[in-house]
Amino acid sequence: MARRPTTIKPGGDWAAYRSDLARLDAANLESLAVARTRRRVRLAICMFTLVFGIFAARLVDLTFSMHAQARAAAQPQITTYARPDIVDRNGRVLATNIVLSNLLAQSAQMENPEQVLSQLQSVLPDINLARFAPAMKRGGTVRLASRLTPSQKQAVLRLGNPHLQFTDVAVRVYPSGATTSHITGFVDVDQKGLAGLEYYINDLTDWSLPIRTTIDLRVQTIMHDVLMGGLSEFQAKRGAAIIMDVANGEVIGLVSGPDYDPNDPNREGTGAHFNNATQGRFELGSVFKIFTVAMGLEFGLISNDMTFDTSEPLYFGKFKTDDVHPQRRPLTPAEVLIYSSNIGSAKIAKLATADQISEFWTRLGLYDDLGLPLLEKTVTQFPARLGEAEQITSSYGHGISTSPMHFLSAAAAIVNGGEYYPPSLFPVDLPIAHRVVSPETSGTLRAMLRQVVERGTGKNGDVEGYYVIGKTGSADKPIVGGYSSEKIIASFVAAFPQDRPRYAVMVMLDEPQATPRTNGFNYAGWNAAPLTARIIERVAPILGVMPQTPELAALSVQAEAMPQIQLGGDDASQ
Amino acid sequence: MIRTLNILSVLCLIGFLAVLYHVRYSVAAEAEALSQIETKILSEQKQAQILRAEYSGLSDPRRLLALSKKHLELEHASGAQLLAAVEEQNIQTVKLLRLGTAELR
Repeated sequence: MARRPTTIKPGGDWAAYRSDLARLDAANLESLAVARTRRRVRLAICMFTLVFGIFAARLVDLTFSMHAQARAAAQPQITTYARPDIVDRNGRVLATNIVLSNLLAQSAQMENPEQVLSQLQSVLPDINLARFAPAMKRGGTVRLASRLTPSQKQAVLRLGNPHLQFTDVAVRVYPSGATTSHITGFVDVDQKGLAGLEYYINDLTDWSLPIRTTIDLRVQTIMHDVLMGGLSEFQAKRGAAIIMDVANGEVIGLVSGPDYDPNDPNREGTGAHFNNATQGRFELGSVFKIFTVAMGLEFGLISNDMTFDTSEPLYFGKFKTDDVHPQRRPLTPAEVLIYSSNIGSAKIAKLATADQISEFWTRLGLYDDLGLPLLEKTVTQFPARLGEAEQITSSYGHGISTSPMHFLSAAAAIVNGGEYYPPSLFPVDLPIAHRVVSPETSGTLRAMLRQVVERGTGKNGDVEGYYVIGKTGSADKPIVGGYSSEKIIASFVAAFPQDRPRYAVMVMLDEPQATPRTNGFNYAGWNAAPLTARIIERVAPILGVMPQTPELAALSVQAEAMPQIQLGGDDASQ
Repeated sequence: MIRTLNILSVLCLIGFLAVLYHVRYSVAAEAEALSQIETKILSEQKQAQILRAEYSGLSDPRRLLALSKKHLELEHASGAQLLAAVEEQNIQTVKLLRLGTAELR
């Protein structure tokens, strides 16, 4: 580069160089200044290069290293304010949200409202539009239809009338309707849950995932079908049916009657919202004898071959305890269950102390709140004090009232090998249980409960090939000043198959009536038991439980080392 | 040297401006397309949701039960029927086992 002499501009701090300057000639002076300037420019270049280099490096970093965080931050946050779907254990929709349209007509701007109405009527044949004719004539905005589906909306749009308008409306729908009413619950017009799981969802913080329940819609449908059929067949006021997995407490089906359609929850009146399975509290009666016998065996108070004299009714003060199916002879514990002897179970209970009884009830979860995610729940009501009279009555299920859900969970613990699993409506990955009775006691009870079905009060509860075990309960309903012998709570608690139960079922009917088909009886053996059998027969194949041939059943009972139970003389087959 | 650098950097600047311009507008266009697609997805989702609900309603076991009662002359499979099927299966298994052992011989 050519060097041309330039004049030095004043402005720098030349004081230090003044003596040098005096000695330097113009050319030297110039070269000195140029060198200084070059240094500064280089420094500036370095600085800029450094800064932009950092920017560039950061850009490259962001572009290619694809920080997950940076990507996530760059994504628009899609927050959903819609309630989550409720699905069954197989992913079938029990509750979901859809957006439907309301149809509004600006009739004032229409030239011929009647013609528009008739056009609409042709595309919306299901809706009675003629009733809007006077309103359309008056003019103004008329709401012609609400909750139109997209296909209906499309049909209206095809008419091409600009004076027909739509507004969106979010709707919560329950495709299975009344079948799952007491599981899902329902929402109000503001989409606020008022019952069932919908109420639970209100307070849920994470709405991004569907709520998966343990319900199997196929099983639920069958139980609903059978229970509703039973309610009308036996003219019962109300009822409940539950089936649960005995190995983890998962509730596979839960039905309460009367039911309601959650899509239109108030049509049947609010009485139908009551959940008899989890909210209803009943004195369930003789089914409690399962617990009495199990307690006696577990605490070593009784043994298989002990007998209890039932020839005389048992008196305690003014209370008299007598049997419904009197045998009037000494009965073994197995026979106490088979003939559902009140006297026998009272005598077993009298061997226990009050502490033992309440300890056993604690193990059975009767004091628990079960923790179900439903608004509709209850707690067991115990006798005010556990005196001798209460010990006697509670041994056959009087003076203690609990929900069918409480009862079934406890009964499942007795037959599943002796472990209590709290009932759950959500899938249980890690079942947590506590021991109620020993596996041996559990096995003995299974053998006894099989006899109840084979030759006792539960005959109508058997299903060929499934070797159902179970116990009936026909409890007189408490009325003012005592108990009614006309009005009863009939229940049947069962499990299948006998050798290694997988599912426990309970059916309860409130005030079933005698019918010609039941030979004039209203006892549980004639209504709740056959309903349970109908349920088991239809749901077992769905649940993957296949029937067993008699030879196979005998083999597997042997393999499970079912204990021998003592039965009385020849008249045991009565 | 400086001059060449200057010219180069000016050229670079113009080049980068052109690229930036292009990128900016293509991003805007992509964003537009994206939002259109998102709107479409949303409406498709709404539609799918309705169809899913409709499907659930149509395939609801209770409805199918009622329909089969009305149109089909079928009854619920009884335990005895299943038992017969199980026994038949057992017989077949035994036959197969025998066949297997016969071949081994």
